Amino acid sequence: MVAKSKTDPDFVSCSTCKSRSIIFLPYARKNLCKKHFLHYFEKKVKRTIREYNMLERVEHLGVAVSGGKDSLSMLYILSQIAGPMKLKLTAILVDEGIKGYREKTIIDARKLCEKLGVPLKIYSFKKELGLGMDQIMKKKIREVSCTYCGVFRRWILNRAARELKCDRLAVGHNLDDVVQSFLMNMLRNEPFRLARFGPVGGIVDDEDFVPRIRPLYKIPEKEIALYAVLHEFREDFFPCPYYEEAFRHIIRDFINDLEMRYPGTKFKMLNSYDQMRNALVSKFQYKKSEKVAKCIRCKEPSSGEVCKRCLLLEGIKKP
Amino acid sequence: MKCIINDRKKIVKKIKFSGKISQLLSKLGINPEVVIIKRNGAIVTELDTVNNNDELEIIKVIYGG
Repeated sequence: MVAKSKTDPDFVSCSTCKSRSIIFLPYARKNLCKKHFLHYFEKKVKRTIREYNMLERVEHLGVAVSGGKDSLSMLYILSQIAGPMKLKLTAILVDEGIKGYREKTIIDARKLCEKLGVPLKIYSFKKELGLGMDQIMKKKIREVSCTYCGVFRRWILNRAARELKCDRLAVGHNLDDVVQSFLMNMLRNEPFRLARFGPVGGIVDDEDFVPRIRPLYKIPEKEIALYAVLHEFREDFFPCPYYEEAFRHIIRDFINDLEMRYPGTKFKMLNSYDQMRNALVSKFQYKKSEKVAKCIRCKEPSSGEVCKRCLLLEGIKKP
Repeated sequence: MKCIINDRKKIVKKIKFSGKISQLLSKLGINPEVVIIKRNGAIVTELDTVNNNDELEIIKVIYGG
């Protein structure tokens, strides 16, 4: 029997204050009202930042924003702690050139940055690569759209963050993203990729590579969506029109189905990953003494002679 | 009951149902993990109930990309 709210008997009550609940957290067996959900959410993000020392010796933080629910929620919370920590924030947005999709989220990103007083720097595929995703999709391409978009976006973000002299770059990956990647990389036998996906840093320890932090590492995607709705960051949640990562789609549905049947599955997966991560990092991370290769074309950090960005770009531009 | 399913496209359905929202979601094949629910414009949980006079909006919030 679910307890009804004392203030509004038509609603289920908050486990803490008995006013009306807006979310049920099956993994914690808790119902939370708006006030207690916002408090719970922000406390969890701030605790994650502290737990992994994400802002240790950071004076200037780049924040990768797309204008979606994850990045705007992350920016909002980071702006709350930036003042007391004397942290400088710069929002970095990459416009992939997707008509009818990215324009809307750029408006939302601009609106929030103005409200928070955070400078926003916009970089575009068109300017940085010579063509946007709409043009790429008209070409005969070998990989799925997300591969091109992801590689190009990461390349631009890293270079932008470095040129802006950011000490670290915050990205909006959430708990769902992390556990999906964990399972996908296990199933694809690509354990080296798992080493990159931790809460701080990447696989490369190099002065040209700006380490990434993931403040939403422990936050389920649904809770971020609710946080974004409550703050009116976003009114709709339409997917990218080119989204076609079929394997991730299957994994996402599978994990969400497990979470529904066995609440807490996502956190259990994350805990398993956290315990394996140190072993993975020590096996796959570049040692400080090792020189990280630079792409012979673009001079950016690369695992091979030519980086993935340049290889993909070459494939697209071939007649 | 008027049921609005806000997915890639907005679908409006008339449904006869009284009971727990989680049971309705299960009937519609929707996982509560990927949606936010509004009953008569107010956000509610899947543990809340709904009846034939209500308007229910089911907003899909998890897509990716």
